[in-house]
Amino acid sequence: MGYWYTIAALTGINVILAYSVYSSFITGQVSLGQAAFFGVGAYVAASLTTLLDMNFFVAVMFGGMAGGLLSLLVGFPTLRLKGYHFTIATVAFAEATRVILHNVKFGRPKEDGAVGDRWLGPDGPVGFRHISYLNDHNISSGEFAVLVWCFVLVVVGAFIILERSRISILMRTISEDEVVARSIGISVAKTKIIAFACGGILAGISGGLYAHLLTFISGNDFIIHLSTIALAFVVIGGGQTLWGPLFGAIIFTLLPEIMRPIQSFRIELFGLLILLTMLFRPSGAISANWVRKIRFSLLRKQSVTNLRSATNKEN
Amino acid sequence: MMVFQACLDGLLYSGLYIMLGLGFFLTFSVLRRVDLSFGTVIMVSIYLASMAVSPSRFNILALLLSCLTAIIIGFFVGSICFGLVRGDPRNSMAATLGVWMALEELIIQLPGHGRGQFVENFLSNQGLNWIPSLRFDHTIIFFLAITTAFGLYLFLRYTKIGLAIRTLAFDPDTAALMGISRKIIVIIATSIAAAIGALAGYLFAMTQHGIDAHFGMWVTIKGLVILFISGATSIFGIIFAALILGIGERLLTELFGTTFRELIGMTLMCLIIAFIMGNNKKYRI
Repeated sequence: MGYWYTIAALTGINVILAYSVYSSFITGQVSLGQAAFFGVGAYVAASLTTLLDMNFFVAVMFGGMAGGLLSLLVGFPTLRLKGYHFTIATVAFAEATRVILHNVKFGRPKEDGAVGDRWLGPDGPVGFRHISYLNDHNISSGEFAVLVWCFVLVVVGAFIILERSRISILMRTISEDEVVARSIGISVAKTKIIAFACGGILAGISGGLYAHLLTFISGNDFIIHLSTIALAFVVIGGGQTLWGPLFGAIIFTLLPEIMRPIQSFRIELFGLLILLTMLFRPSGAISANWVRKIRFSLLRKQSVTNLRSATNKEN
Repeated sequence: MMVFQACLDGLLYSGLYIMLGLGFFLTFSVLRRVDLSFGTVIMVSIYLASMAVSPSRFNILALLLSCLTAIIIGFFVGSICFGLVRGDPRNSMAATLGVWMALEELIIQLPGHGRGQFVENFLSNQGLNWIPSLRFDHTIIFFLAITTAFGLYLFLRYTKIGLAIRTLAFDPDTAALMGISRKIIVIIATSIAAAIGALAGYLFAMTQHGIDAHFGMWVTIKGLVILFISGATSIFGIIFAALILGIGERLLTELFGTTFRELIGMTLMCLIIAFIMGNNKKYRI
């Protein structure tokens, strides 16, 4: 059972990561730098709990803030870039951050432990070991999964509110046509930077959760593959509605686990699935049309029921 | 002396980067799409060619075979990801990501080859008589790269197909009005790109005595870096960007070590993209 709890927690973390990509995706920016924010969030949160014995929740929030600050730092000069230039700039940034994380070393010596394993904190290429907050505070994998999904609920709730607000329309207008957005008085740069920073915060939070789930992280965990997979969550799930990233992240995390009987070829099949989705459902698994149709049929059912009950009352 | 040697070594990398950049440049200019599977296709072709030929030790055949395989695989990948996948360019990019993942994993799981594939260096790695610090194979590769770039320039400048490629890259609507078949031109351009990429990849594998399964990712990242540093507007831009990257990387390695090479290189690239580039450009060849 513990295994499935871990998978559930990992799924939740991936959902938050997917929403971090989605946050800037709705303004039309494709970021491949989420691995950097995720990594920085992981290192910051893990350092705070391991070295300063900080409360887990506060540490994860600090991780999120670190991701957000970093995204602001990157966002200001790069968000004026158009098309692929922004994407490639984020690739370069993510790669530079990975190198830093891979080599960063701070912390303090650990009294117990085997020879060569007496360091608390990030230890350069060896990685960051002994992130044992969950173990030290007797938090089981089931409890941690519930905690992660609480974060997910908050994030999804926030996006539901956002989707129904005026800001969402502004963001989608920027994505459709920046010139039109400017002409109707939308502050394009400000909106883009806020969206990107929100993405950075979410990536940082998911990184903090990830570090505590795995108990060991190293700079090489945050390579460009992670960013591309996070982007795939959104593209495959569907970037037109807020349900797409949720669906994409859940399917993408669970499918390789369900496909364990054909373990050797699961990544190949996974890659093939991305290709097939792009071939047959380019707008992703959950498109805006699809959601509209479901909403419409639900409303129709409800109105028919209301009409019937009103007719019955009249009779 | 150390700086001089680093510059000489950097020339090898520059040569390889020129060819990789040219491959990416052709694909990007004609298709207006980023092909994330470019490096993986090259890697797979090198693996297959060297596995097929290595027992006979007829290495030039392996080189030619890897170019041919890259053209064939590249054709199929291009037809599916850029021909059949419609709509937003991001869809094609995501499709090539799927191909990248699938092919890379296939190579990792290749029995006996997942950890790497040995590629024999059939050129001498001794220093030249007149400049002992310059290796013979490095010199050949650099001149091959310059010849390829010059040959491509002449091809694009003075042939009808070259004119068609340039027109399509500059303005697809004008190309359509001129009766240029986009499909055929895309096939020709991507085939040339795959062949040049495979040539660069094989020569690099040869100098390093082999490649591993992550070689594809390296090729893709380097190709993208060169493409965007150059501004993707001309062959000379690609050569210039490749020279800066190749020599710059070696100098940074000498001065700061491998770790800081990547860090400084990527930060510089980020800054170049952020502060120098970024305006919408017409892609010319």
